[in-house]
Amino acid sequence: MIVVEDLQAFVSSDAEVAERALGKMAPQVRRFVMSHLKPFGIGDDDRQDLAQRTVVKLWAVRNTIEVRSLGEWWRLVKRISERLAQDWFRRRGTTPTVPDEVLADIPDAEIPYVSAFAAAAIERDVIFRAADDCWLGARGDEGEAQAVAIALLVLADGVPFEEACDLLGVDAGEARQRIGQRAAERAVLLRAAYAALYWDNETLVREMLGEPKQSAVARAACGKEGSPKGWTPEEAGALALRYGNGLTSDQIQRFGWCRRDAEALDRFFASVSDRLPFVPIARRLVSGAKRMRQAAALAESGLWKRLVFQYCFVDQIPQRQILERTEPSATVAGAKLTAAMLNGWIGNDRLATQIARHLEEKAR
Amino acid sequence: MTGDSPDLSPATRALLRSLAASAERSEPVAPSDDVLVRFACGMGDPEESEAVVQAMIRDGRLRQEVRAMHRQARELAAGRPFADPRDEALFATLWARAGTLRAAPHEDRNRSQILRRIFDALRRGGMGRFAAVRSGRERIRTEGDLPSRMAETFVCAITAQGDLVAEASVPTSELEGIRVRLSLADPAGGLFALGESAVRDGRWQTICVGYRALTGSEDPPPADSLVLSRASFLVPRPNRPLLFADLPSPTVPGSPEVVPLEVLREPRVVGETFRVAIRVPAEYRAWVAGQTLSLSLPAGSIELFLGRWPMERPDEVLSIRVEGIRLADGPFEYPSVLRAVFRPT
Repeated sequence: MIVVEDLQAFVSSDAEVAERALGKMAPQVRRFVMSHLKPFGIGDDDRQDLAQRTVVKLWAVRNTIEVRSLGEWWRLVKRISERLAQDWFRRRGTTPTVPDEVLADIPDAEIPYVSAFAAAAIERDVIFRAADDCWLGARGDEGEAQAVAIALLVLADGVPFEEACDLLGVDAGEARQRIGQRAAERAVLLRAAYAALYWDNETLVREMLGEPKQSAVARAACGKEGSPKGWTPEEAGALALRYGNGLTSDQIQRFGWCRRDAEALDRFFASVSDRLPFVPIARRLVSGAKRMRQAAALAESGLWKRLVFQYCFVDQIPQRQILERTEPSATVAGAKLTAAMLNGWIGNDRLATQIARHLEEKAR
Repeated sequence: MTGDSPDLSPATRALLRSLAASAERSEPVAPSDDVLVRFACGMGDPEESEAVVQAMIRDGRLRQEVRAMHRQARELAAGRPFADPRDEALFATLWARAGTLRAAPHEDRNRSQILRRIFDALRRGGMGRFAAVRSGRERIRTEGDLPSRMAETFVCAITAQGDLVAEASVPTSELEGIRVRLSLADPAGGLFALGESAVRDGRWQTICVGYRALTGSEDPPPADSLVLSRASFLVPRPNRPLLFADLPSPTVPGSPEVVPLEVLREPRVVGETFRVAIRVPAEYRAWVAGQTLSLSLPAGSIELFLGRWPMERPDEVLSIRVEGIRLADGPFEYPSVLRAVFRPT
């Protein structure tokens, strides 16, 4: 992870020290640029080239850099990568597709938010733990994971409490009573609900297809018959691309093996939406939460923001598909989730902003 | 929880978005089958148990798998006594002594139940060469935090093969599942461990294979020389192979501690018969010849004895069949903790 000491080493007059710092920082800078220039509409190869040029440029100007915080460092990386991107467009006689205000400089007053966010983003899993903390109220302390697992077994899987305790090795008596109380806590319930309702792309595809040995896309491409759960190879391939890669119907119909047009694919996806696992799980969760008098917690926005954050930044699926994975179960839980809300959360970056403010408050 | 906040500038938000999308995250590591099995059997160490709990939180399908393993372990532990019902000599000895049961229908497949009933009869009657301790008269010694009245009744016997079989009824429900060790106190005050297993359904049983050869004694030890104490759970070793063979260290000087055996095909239960094929590496075959293979299965916190097979001229592949396994037909959920022990025949 890049820390302020690395930045100091990077601008050091000792070339050997600076080179070591560069070696450490370069991979993350490249990852950032790849992600940051994605909305510019630049292809993967060219973005990789721009990412490398950004690293080279940073090295070239290192003697003139004065960075006092991580926020300032990333402001500089952003600025350099965007300028290189603009040059790239200029050479092609076109202009970037992003609005000017996005290309503007970061205001000084907002540097602390960037610093706090950057510090969390570069440390493994920290940003996601911060999201748990911010929206689920998770403490992440000893015993929480066990309580969450018990809550999941009982609420999502319908396992009797005593059997869940046996399985997790919770001793009878007081320990069992304690874990029972802990499992009924609001934060534990929310973490369990989040774990039950969040299905990463790969797991969701496995569920829909019935765990194929060969990838569904490969099967579709080879034209082999006999897919699990009775899907045709074309259907299995389309499902794998939609739920595994977040592709739209328009993108899927361009594959040579796909004989359906975008509209037919849309109809197909609508017809299989009742096979998604989310609503039955939500029903079980709500029923269990009612018994624990915690159903109201599931109707609050925290759980749904956490899910949307994960689908957006980890699974990187389009807004419409995020809504498809969350809205039906939110309705079951009594929460309101609309396309307009998601647009504010994702399109206007309210979720990222909220995490940045949360982290900045904690860092203060 | 932080509420909705006023927006930051679009440039800052774009930067945050890119940072979030490029954030470092750990790739979830799926626990190995061995680790899952140990966890389901209640034998995982804290570190690997934590990893399994995290994986169970992430993956609903894994929760179902671990649950199935756990259920099977419990069924096995509850349905099968430690003493081997296929041990002809033991059965014959007990059958001969259990006069009150001779009228009972006798079918091979009911042997494990019959054994239990025989033990019950023995406890009631205190017959023959069986060392027996009964409620209200004398009590077997206990050590450590085990209650002195742990065993309501206690019997032990020497089988025709020279093994010591011991059984106790444990009325205290607090000891359910607790692993208890039976030791022999020597005159100098030391303790020699004879066997250990867990209390299940108010019963405790253990077997000390080769007791007669070990002690040179034809009779069961006097009750006042026996001690019950709490035993620790099996401690799994790191990188435990799929199937492993432990050797009593003094058996063959310089011999390997672990023989790397390999399970060839997925062990299965078919018609109440457990089938497994084990390959003995060529370099160990000569060493294995003349030894007796004991196979057992740590299930729950009890070690289930599956049987013994003398290895006179061992083939490369040992095909093992164990009858009387009351499980539905299908693959065996946890082959990774089958325990094979070689001892001189």
